[in-house]
Amino acid sequence: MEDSKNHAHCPINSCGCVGYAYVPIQFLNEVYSVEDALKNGTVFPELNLSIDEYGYVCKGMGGDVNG
Amino acid sequence: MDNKQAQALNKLQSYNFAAYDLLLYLDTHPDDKPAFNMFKELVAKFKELKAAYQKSYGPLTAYDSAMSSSFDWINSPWPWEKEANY
Repeated sequence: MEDSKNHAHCPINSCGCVGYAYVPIQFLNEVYSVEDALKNGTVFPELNLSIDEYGYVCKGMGGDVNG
Repeated sequence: MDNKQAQALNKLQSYNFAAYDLLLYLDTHPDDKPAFNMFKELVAKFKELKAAYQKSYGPLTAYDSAMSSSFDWINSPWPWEKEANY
């Protein structure tokens, strides 16, 4: 097995973490009215995504929330 | 449950939901003043609507009957009764 020492990894051996999530910081912009928020399941339009949109808006996949 | 009451309850739920969503946002953005102000507005509106709702239709939760003159929680429709479901 290749010497895993060279690969970047968590300095604290006992920690056992294998990675960490990268969640972009959300900024408060527009919000839905309370009626729409209840229907859409969120007050934040940027989080109101259908399941198939979810993959494409990810920046990593070249997506953009504004589509 | 008549339409008027159902609408009042739906409005109550909307404000409660929106306030909760802001609460989740504030968990990760505690210093976001505009968000905090929005949260305070939503909670204030929710409390106002809740008081008005309860004056007309009785306590929403058993604890709320503590504010009534008698233990009127027992009079509201029970969950399995038609009136409790709309």
